[in-house]
Amino acid sequence: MERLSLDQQPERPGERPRAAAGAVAPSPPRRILASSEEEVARALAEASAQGLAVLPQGGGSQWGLGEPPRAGDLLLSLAGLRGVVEYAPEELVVRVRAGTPLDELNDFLAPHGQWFPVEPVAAPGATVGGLLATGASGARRLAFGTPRDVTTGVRFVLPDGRVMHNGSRVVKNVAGYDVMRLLIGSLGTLAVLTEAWLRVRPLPARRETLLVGVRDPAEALDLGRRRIASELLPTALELLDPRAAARLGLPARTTLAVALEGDAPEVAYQRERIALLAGGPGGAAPGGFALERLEDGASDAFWRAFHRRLPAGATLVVRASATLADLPALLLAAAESGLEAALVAGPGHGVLRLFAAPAEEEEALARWSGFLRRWREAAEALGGAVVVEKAPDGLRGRFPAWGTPPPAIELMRAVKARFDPRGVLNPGRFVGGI
Amino acid sequence: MAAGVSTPASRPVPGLPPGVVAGLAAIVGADSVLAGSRRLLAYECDGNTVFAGQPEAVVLPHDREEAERVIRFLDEHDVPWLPRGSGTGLSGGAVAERGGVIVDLVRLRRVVRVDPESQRAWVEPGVTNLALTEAVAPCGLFYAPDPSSQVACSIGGNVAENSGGSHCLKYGVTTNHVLGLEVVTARGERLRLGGAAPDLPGYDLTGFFVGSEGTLGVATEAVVRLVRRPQAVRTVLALFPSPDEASQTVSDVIAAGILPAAMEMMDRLAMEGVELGPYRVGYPPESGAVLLVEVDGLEAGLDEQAERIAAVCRRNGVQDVRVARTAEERNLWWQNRKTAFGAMGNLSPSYYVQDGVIPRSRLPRVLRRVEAIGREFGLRIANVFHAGDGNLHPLILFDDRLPGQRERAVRAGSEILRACVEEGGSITGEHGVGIEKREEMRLMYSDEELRFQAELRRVWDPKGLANPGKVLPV
Repeated sequence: MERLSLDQQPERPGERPRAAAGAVAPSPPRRILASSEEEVARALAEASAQGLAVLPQGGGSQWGLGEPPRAGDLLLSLAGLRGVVEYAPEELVVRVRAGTPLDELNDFLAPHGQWFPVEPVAAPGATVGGLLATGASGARRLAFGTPRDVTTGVRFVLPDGRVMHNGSRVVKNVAGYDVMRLLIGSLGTLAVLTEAWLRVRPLPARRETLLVGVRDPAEALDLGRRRIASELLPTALELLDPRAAARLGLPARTTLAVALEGDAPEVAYQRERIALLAGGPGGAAPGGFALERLEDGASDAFWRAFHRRLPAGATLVVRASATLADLPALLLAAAESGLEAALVAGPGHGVLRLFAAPAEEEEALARWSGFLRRWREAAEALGGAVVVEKAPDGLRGRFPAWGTPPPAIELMRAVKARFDPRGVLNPGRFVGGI
Repeated sequence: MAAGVSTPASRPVPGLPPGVVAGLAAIVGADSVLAGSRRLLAYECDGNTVFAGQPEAVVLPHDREEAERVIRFLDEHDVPWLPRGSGTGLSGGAVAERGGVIVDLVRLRRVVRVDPESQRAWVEPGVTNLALTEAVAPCGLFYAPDPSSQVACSIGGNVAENSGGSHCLKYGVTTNHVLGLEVVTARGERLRLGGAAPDLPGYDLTGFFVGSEGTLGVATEAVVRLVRRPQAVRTVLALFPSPDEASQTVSDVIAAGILPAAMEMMDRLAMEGVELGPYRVGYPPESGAVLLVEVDGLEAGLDEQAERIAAVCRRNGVQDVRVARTAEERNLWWQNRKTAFGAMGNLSPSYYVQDGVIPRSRLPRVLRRVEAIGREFGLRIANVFHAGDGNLHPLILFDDRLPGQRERAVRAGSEILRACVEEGGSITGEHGVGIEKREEMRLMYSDEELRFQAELRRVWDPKGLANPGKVLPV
């Protein structure tokens, strides 16, 4: 077999692509650290010609999402495609290379009084390209949406090496087919993203997080959904079960975490309303509620821990989603399963995550897979889904990552065949074995 | 094969194969198939009167099962067809340029279900945009994308065009609010894409379908996100000597960290037009631009925000700035703005609307180019903008009775789009490509990119029967 020319490129010290802590990264025989879009194109064209299976990688923080790839000859790291290409603060948009870590992007934006608020629930190291490819999101999706809502344009390379773009820097644009949204969330199975135009936001002047201790999940949902989210405009609203709270260094009790981020008057108003809705400010209140208030830096640190520490410390991460009306059923089923797991759920957005570290032994794995199968069945019956974001090997064979293929699976296969007729990119990792 | 040539649009449709009208009548009933030129006259144009074409027949299914059977029948008989909603589109997307059958979805107009707790609604394509918002208003909710034609335009048409509106600066466009669809693909297959729950596994086919202008198939139901009515709203009206000061104000408001729900602008000529219409605000003759800025959200802090906006206006030489005191005053200001297109009829026998997008900081520069283009072509151009997101609607005034004027107007429009793309923008922000801008697609995408988009379209429509000749250059 012909040698892949880029194979000979020496890797720069300290930049060797590697998976972030806790994620199980595949280890293909060859690795390429591409440092330009041309290099990505050349590597893909050559790999395609040779029939190699290519695994694109950003920060490597999401290797557990979906099925392990069926084959992997070449790991194509985008970590060298790094940095901001163009920035127009007055337009609230930034053009950035795919391998740029989200932290680096936010460090770049901060001096201009702006930020990119879409932070995924993932181990540290997540990149812009990885965020878009996985379609990942976190607590602030409540206010800012998911990657498909904040991306206005992309550049990408097809498996045969053709470089294309879709969308542009302007926020409103309906010219032509929306290839961009096909790519977002496609888990690197259609093309390799090399650049993106992202919408950024003004940094909120005031940031506060209120931690409200409540009796049980039902009460938390009632307070979160029926009272707080129906009246106020928190930027994040998450229910933490006692284990999740403990893992974040809080007292082990069911807790509602509410982020208030904006101008001082609206933050102050909302804080007072929540104190009232939750039954009184400070300490244990008549309704059994207790409030703790984190300000600015402490508030930021809490949400950083929420997004990163929970997944990094678990070997099993499962995401469930349902409409807001159906979320309580899924949450209560998990809370009452008797299995040792930390749970977080968004009463305002409908996504729930379970973090656990099951013992790799027959009995534990059988109990887990039994519960997860029933949980998925319930979610799917409600029009929702249960998806594996990380799992120990012993559980993989018993519980598939994606569940029942969607009704349009044949159309999805046809789309895949059009982008990647040779099945070069991430074979087998996506829905329905795509 | 040239870029984008994927459909039989390039060859004429001589008429329908024998038996097609009878076959359609067998599905929907004879009184729901229109044929014969007089009855088809109403289907010659959409909201863009520059492009016209008569279909061979129009079929009006009563429900989605009939729609599915109709499309499967047309596929089996290789008949080109296109879907149509209210016909308010502005790019010729609903015009049967080369004949074929129009599938009119006006009868599919049920709001199937509203789930207020989940903030979702399931609606059929013929429901009008405003009717949806009215249907969910008792729950304190609304459907956010608000095209100026919202009284008439349909949700199906909004999905096909990925329509915008005045408030998408904060709330986003149609694609941000459509979470799932039931579609009948061009192959006659009825399928569910996405759904009401978030993060459903699989490719985002819903996202690809929204804005595909009826070239992949037709939506028979949309699952949409509903937004909670804001607690409070403040609307600021500011008058400036010229669009330059107004444009600078737009940039400065954003730079001040304020994200308004809407920022709309009209220039002198557009103001003159609307002032002759039914919703007169009383703009003084010395004002060269009016800016309408709306902020919404919690009552707390909203007055301060409105005051900060007024302060930015004052720093930019505003002539007069005020905050709406009553709901009636606010409604008048909005009616005045939303009827701007039609009001051009007060100034000129005909007008032609364009839909370019530019980075908002380039507004003053692009306006000067638009002015120069008007002079070059000897045509008056009024300007209405969604200034907050850089979406321009130049209204090119012309007299259809004079030979060559229509062509000049179209050419001037094309020049404006070229200027928008050169400034880093787009040829369409919300009206779609349709017939009108398919050649200008070459300004946005290379031949190879256009060919690839055509290939993706063929995944849904291998025979190229659905709305042939739209979106991509022919």
